[in-house]
Amino acid sequence: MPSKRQLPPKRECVSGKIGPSGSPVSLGVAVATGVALFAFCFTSLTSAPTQPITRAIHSVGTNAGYIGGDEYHHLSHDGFVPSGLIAFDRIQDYATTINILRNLSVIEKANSSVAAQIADARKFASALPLGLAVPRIWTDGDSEVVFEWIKGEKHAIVSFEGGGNFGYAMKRGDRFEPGVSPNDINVAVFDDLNDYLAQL
Amino acid sequence: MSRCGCPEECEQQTPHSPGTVADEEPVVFALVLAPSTNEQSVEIFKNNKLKDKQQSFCRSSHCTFMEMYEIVVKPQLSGQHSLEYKGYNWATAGEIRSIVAARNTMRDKTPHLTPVPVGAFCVIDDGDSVYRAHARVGYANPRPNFLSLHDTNKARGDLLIILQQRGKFPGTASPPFREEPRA
Repeated sequence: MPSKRQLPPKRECVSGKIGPSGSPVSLGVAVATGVALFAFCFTSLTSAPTQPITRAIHSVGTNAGYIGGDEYHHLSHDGFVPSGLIAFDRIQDYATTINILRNLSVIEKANSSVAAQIADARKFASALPLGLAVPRIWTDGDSEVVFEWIKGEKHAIVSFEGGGNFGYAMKRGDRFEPGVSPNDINVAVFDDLNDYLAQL
Repeated sequence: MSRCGCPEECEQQTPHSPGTVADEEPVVFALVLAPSTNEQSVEIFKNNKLKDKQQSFCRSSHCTFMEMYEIVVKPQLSGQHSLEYKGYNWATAGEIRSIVAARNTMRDKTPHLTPVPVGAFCVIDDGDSVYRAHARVGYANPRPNFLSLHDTNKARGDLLIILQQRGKFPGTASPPFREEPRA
């Protein structure tokens, strides 16, 4: 995790002495200067943080599989991140889980007959390490829900058939290897799968 | 390799079939898929059909491409307008039969009763009067729950690899199909 830079000191908008009081000219100058100063302060306080915030929200919402890449580091290193945005670091960690749970909800709404499979898939998702790539999730509509990670020569399949029954296999070379964990999602420890997914 | 899970392979199953499926025979898998289906995914197979040994393949040396298209592809396209024909993959029956059920026997309490290795898939003739070239493919099942869910995922992953190793074909080609009759 990259370390955060110190935040720059806050710019403060303070009113200083403007000139001899009572003079219409100096009053006009004072008003104009005040407006300009306010505009400057407003701009500098709002425009700089806005861009990183927008990027972070965009990444989490639309392309979470790649969060942790350039977008995230840019956000961390540019030095304009207000302290309130540190929470985005944690959102980034959970982006895959959030994305999976969202996709499962979408599938559940469209296919009530795979509710048991969805429940097991949620248990599995909550047990996955943070920061993995987002899988493709699909269902045949009546008997299984499947997670698939496909990237280059890597391919992992995880399927849920309800009742706690789950299984997985990973492509190594020109063949797949079956998982070694128990098939019960309630007692499963799938270190071999986690190691494989960490390489994606 | 034991074929103990596929007794149907040894005898012709239907009177209209050209006979049992030989290892050297090409079998074609037509890709009639929803637009959202990833062709690189095992989603192209129906797992329930594989369990029931009912996943349809075409014994392409016994039919032409146009026959397969008319009998297999067209009805699916007209039945569900959301489906698209994306081409076909093929392999020999022997290549599919060579996929091993690489079972994890760590927790098998009776490993001495389990023949090793065991073929994961059966390729069975299933021709009828209209479509002699029909074959069906499914998981070998020498005894109930022989294959765990790990094993079936491994097997269908291997089936995907075997089918994709020659690439995807859009239309008439010989092999795998019998040549079209000359006009």
